[in-house]
Amino acid sequence: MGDLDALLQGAGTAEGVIGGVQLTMLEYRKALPSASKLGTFGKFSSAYRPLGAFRRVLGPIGNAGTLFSGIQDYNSMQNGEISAGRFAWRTGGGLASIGASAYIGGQFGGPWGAVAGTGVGAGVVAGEMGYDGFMHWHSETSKGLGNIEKALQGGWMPRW
Amino acid sequence: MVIKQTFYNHLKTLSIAIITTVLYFGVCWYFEFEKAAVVMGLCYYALTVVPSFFLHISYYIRNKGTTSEILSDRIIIYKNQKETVIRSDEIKEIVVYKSASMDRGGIPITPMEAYFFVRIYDNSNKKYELTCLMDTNIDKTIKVLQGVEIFREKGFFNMV
Repeated sequence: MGDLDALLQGAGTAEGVIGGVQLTMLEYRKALPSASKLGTFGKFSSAYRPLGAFRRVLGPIGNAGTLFSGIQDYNSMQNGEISAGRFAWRTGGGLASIGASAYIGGQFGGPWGAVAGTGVGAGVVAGEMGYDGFMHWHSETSKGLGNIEKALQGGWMPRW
Repeated sequence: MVIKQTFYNHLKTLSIAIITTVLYFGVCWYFEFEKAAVVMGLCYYALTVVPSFFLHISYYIRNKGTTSEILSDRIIIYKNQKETVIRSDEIKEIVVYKSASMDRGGIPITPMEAYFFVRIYDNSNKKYELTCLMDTNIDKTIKVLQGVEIFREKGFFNMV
């Protein structure tokens, strides 16, 4: 199961990466002086186009990957590995990623949709990591404060 | 150029929906069609694919039995054994409703982005619509018409 999950999630990530590569190629070409661009479009196009064709296949695969992850998260929730809140956060994030891809891609075209979808997906993961980090800090701080409180009750006084 | 609904046009427009359906089915099959997988699959399907069927049916009904000929100076629309000729000087404007993700280099994330159409406004503000089910390159074909302003509206859900 892990292999297929990695493959599907990899497809979603690749979609964003290829989108980013296309954007970089376009921006680089735009930045070139006009003299350098002359007569090079054929070469540029032959490198740029296959990336687009590849991404057309990856789009629906990335979409199915979101469903796959959602089902896995549901099973993890049923097994008690993650909470209902975390399941909702991940599922909502996956759907938001699809929505952002479709909306941004529909408005701006090019690889922007894939890049936006990957950005939202990364934001959801970062948010979850941030929450975990905060909860870890909160728990450790609470423990520390609890120890200090116990020590103070036992007559301990800090030396200044 | 003469355009009308053909099986090939239907199939080409539906291609992303078909790929997504197969992939969603594959994901549910992988989870052995367990209840949670089927329910989640149906939810994702309802959000990403079903709206495209709504668009497909509405596009089909709109152009059912219509044949159109686009010439450089006029558009001829045949429907119900009735011929309507719209000369280019009678056309106020033409608006192309199409997702930017369907342009070159773009990536359609959801099947509904594959649906687009052109709306022709005549001087009396009467509207005529020609959809991608009649010609999958209708946005380019319409440019054959000379002396008419063509505008573009971008969006991922283009309801006719």
